[in-house]
Amino acid sequence: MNDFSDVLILMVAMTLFSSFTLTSARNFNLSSTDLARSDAEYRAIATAQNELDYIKWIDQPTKLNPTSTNYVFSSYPVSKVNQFGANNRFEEPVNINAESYLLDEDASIVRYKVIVTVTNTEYTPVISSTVSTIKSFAK
Amino acid sequence: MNIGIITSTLVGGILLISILSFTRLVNTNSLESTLGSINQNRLNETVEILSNDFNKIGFRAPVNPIISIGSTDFSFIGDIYDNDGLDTTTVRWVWDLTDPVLNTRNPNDYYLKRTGPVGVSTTGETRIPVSYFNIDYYAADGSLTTNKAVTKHVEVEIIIESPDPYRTSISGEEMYYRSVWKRVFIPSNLNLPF
Repeated sequence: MNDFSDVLILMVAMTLFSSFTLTSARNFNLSSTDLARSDAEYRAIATAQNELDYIKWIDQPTKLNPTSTNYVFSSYPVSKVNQFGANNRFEEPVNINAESYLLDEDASIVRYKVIVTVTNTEYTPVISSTVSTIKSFAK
Repeated sequence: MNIGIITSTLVGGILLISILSFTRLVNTNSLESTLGSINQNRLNETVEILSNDFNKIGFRAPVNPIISIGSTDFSFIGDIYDNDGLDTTTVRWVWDLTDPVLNTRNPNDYYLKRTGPVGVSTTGETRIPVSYFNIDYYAADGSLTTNKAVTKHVEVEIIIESPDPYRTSISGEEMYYRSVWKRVFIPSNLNLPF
């Protein structure tokens, strides 16, 4: 071996090592991001479930009829900031969209399907959770 | 001095520092992922128990099933598990700030204690290390209330932190993985008759 070939071998070795290090670091970064995203998704589902809980107590079918003036989702989508922790020291903005449509209707009952979508725009790509329920009213 | 030895020492030193830094990064990220996954499982299990309890507030119970309300202490009556051999039982959720968790390094951990049915015809206490727990109570019109007689909605918030830090900064600050959950419950039996 002479001096210059040693330098070349060292450069190749360091390039391979750097490449391996960068790949590993990127993989670890991806797993950390996935972990944070799954936490945010869990919170988005909880927010969507809150909306469904409120919808459960809607007492008039006209409130779920998109053509009615009483339609409860006429102002949707809405933006909201979820606050967490002592003195609300953590914040997370979410967009909530909800809509309903007539599923079926007969002489005794009318059913609406309600779909709620909560989107967390803090992350790229955005985190979105959709939940749905069927609300029935006796005539 | 031989220039070759100096160069080798320099390159070798840089490589060693790189390897040590990389090992530290791998360890930190690996620890964060592991602690994060464990944390999420713990939160999920806690939420499962809590959701079941809170949705059953007042089930087969007297007209006003709430015994006491407080931001970290909540007691109510309900038939929590339908086929457990117990009828209506008293359930209490309390975040006991006088009882710190001593077997973890996290100084924010205090026991969240649930007293209620735990098995067939048995009641007992379940203790969960929690870093923050808060309950707000709302009347039917959505306003905050401290009156148990008019409480219709219950908002629960839980923060669970990892028992050990995944990283300690140069200044000595320990960083714990944190999972947060918040939910409003509108129990059917608190809101009847509609």
